[in-house]
Amino acid sequence: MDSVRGRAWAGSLNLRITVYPDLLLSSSSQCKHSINFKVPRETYLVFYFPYILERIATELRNNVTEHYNGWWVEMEGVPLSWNFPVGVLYDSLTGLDPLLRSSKHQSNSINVWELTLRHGAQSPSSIIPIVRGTDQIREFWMHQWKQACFILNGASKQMMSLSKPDTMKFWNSVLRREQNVFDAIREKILPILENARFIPLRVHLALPQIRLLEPQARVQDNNGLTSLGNVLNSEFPEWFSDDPSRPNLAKAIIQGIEVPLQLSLWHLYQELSSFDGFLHVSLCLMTEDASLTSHS
Amino acid sequence: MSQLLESESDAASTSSTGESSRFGKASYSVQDGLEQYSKRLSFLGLESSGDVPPPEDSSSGTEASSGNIKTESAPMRPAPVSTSAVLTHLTPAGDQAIKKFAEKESTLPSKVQIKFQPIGSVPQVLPQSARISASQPFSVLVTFLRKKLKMNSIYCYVNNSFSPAPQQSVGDLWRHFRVNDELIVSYCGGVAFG
Repeated sequence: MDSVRGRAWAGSLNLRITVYPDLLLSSSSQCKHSINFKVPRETYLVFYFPYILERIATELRNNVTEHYNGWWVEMEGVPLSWNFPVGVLYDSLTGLDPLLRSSKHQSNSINVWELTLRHGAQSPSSIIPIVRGTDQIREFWMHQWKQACFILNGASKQMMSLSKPDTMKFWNSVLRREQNVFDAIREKILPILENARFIPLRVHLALPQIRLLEPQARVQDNNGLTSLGNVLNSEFPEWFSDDPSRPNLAKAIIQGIEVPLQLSLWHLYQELSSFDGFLHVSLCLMTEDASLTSHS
Repeated sequence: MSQLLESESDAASTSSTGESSRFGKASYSVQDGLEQYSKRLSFLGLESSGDVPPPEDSSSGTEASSGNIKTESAPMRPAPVSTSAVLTHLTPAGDQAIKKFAEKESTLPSKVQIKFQPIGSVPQVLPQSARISASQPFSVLVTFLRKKLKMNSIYCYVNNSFSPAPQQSVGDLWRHFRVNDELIVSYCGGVAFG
């Protein structure tokens, strides 16, 4: 059981970030400036902005005066909202189909997610401007947890009554990637099953357009624990059928893996929820010629 | 006597479509690309002429006792080009499904009731209650308050507890956190609940 959570926490992505040509000192040259690095799935990409900027600073036309404000990354011109775990952004924006990823994988190949670094006086509207550096990121993350806590418990009390040292330890465990510390404090926020009300569930769609949905998902009803399939069927009957003889037209992806729909949300939340307190599900639409979906 | 409050959404520019095509990989044919482009346009509710759909709100005059926050259509956010390539490769059933979904989304103009509560010395916005389209993101409410109160920065909270992600739809927040069928949004000039 622990190994599933441990593996999800350890999941990572390979990124190649190319600097938008206009930002470069020598924009006329043909060579592109890219950096490659690996990030955990369970992090905000914005944590890595100072690192990225440090590595490219000498190539940039202008001096780097801000490490967060005004910077953002894009996939094919689509800006990435930094306020979701980077693994979730990857799964939803690429329409990841894990089956195709593994069928194409070879021992001498790796998956790389290609992104572009941009800068501008005005960020795109889908991006929250960061004007107060890491304090703002921490506060945003705290509020995500308060919201998740409210959904689980019916109030944010458990989160708000964490001691100051515990709150800081909780945040630092995210920055330092200390799962044991993180889980120990998370335990103080999560209710026992009997008291749990709803699951903090977020569904990310890329098609027909990028959308975030937060369905109301009861932990249990008269028939027992609510399954992921129950919720997806009621929210997206177009893709998820309640009739076993009719095939589903989409897959549910959590932490880069396809999850069986009959699993309970409570169980999935324990094992696969993210560091912001939410269980993030990305929907992958199934194709007849599946080869095109594995562009990563 | 109805009160109409005009506001603009933080409508995202959809201009990225043209630019992003430069990054598209040549993993599909030109014909696929054109077909996919027209599908994307139709899903996004845009005709090829590029006309922006008119605001759907025509019932604004009927809500006499409360405000009615008029907004533009919720911002459209198209997917990356290589991801939307699957649109041309869906099974017939999958094609029908996504059309049905897009249709359902576009015919969801239902509105939800919001109640604004000032914290501390901030003035009360009038009217205190307003209705807004459920599909709008939370950021629209923040922008609305900021403009209405002429404040540079404003901090908004739901149920005096937390500040939601700006991308979240007001409708989803209302479903989860409503009290007596109203979403209670409190606001302050500084941080009230850190």
